[in-house]
Amino acid sequence: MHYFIAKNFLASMNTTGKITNVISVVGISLGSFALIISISVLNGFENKLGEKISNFDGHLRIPNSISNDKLFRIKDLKEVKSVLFNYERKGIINYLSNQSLVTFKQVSPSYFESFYEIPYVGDLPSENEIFLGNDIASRLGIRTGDIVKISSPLDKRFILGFPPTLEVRVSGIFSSKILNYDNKYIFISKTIGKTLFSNANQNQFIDLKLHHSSKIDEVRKALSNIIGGKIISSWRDRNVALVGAIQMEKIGTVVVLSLILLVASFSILSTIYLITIRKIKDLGILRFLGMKMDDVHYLIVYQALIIGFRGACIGFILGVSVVLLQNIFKIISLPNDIYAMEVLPMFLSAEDIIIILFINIFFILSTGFYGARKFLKYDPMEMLKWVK
Amino acid sequence: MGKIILNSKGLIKSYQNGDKRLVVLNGINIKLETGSITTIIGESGSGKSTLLNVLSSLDTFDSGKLLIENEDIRSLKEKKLSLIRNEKIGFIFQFHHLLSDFTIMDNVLMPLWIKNGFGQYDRPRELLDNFGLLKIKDKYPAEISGGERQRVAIIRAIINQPKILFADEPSGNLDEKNSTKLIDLFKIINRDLGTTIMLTTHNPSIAKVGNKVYELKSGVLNKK
Repeated sequence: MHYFIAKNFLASMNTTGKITNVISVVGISLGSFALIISISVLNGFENKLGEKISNFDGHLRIPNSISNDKLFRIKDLKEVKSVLFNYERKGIINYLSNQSLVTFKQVSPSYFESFYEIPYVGDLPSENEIFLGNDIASRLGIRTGDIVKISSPLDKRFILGFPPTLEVRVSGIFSSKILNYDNKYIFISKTIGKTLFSNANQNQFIDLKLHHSSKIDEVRKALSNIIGGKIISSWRDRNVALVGAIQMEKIGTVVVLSLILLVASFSILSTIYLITIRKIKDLGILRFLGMKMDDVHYLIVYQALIIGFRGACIGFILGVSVVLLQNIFKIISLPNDIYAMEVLPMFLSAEDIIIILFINIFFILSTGFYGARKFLKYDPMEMLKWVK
Repeated sequence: MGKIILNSKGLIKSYQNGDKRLVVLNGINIKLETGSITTIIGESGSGKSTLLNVLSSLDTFDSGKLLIENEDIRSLKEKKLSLIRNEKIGFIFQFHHLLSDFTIMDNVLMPLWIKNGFGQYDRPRELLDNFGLLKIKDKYPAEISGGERQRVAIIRAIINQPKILFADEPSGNLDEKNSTKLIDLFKIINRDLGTTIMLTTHNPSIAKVGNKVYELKSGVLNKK
């Protein structure tokens, strides 16, 4: 009944009412649309970043201090695609008169191709070659095939001695475009590592790459069953500050874009005020027919709901359509050299839709109840007097 | 003597008019018996509409007591009062006051929806048929004649089979022929449904329909 009456009241609006109604619907749809698009873009970038970091660091990282038996059990997990032993140590690279502080990443060259999915120029490294990040190469003017010196000051044998130094050939230059990785990492083989790192030559951790990133939690649980209380970290755990910043950005975006809904709510409020004032006589008639004041209250809330629902529907349909079209047809492209991706990533989860829906419902219902409450300040008898 | 369905004792109703207080009803004492027809006559501006509004619980009063089926109207909460208006009282205005955005059928259904919830009911169709209005059930109030509107207002007022039907100058906007028809309709409602009727009029010939006739003059009700 409330919906039927509210719908009829809305349908009978005069020109002014119709204009404010359209403004309200447009406002709500714009707010919903903006929220969907911006959240899906932020999600898209976050997912893409996660995907890129996982392509470099693996989906999960565990300490190396586990027995072979446990390692075999880990390798046997059906969601685990590949396993890579890692060792990282700070060092220096010298080329001509230039030098730079870097992080050597010691991995087995035979696993390199199966684990890393990063673009590069040149060749993958052999046992006596290195593979370095594009930014290091640019900064020092290094090209593939050049001979460079690498040293590990941490592994000096004597206080006043020289650090272990090696002359190695650069086999290739990678360009991951992940965080500062291109400016930080130089891949070296275990053979080079043995010569360079005299003070520590143990693998530090094991990176695990999964078939599907969605299975991280599942595999993490399985891993903790195998290795017990040892630390298992995902890219999110290792980049807490970055993940926190993305989350803050998301919250900030939601808050700012919700202001559009707030403004649209004022428009809804003015629309229901206009209708209520115009229909106060009819509301009085309903009161003398026995309608309770609560029901009159609900009539006003329903009007706000109808307007808001129309706007939210339009916004949701448009927003979700844009996300779908972008994912299917890749309409909006990005400059690859800046963003390290060719198309604008967009991703919308059911959770996001529920949150946006909740924000919409919050604003629309608040407007409806606030408007109704204001209207209820009128004495019911005052309303009735309008019809006498 | 029938059972008393409405009993008012010393009702006083006044309005503030600038510095002055205008007393419209000055100690109204009236008892309505179940199944009776009571008519109130009086000149325009004598307070007939105010009296009906107060007795039907649509308006408040300054002092006195009003009992409908032994329930003190003044002591009732808003929800209970709404329930009484919906189930026990029917009201017909001189200007019909149909809801302009709703069809005739919707208008007639409205008290039923308020009482029992939204849905389809047989009774409105039967009553519209009995009153010869079924053919206009899908029209809007603006599309039908004054006489038809008044009959629709009557159906709406009796749809929930109220105990008391109040009619404020129901024939005020009708010609002689339609007025007679309307009065006959009230007699039928009173006879067939046993509804207690109270109506106001300034027309002495219409007033004759009442078992009891009162005249309202200077805020005081006198039996004729």
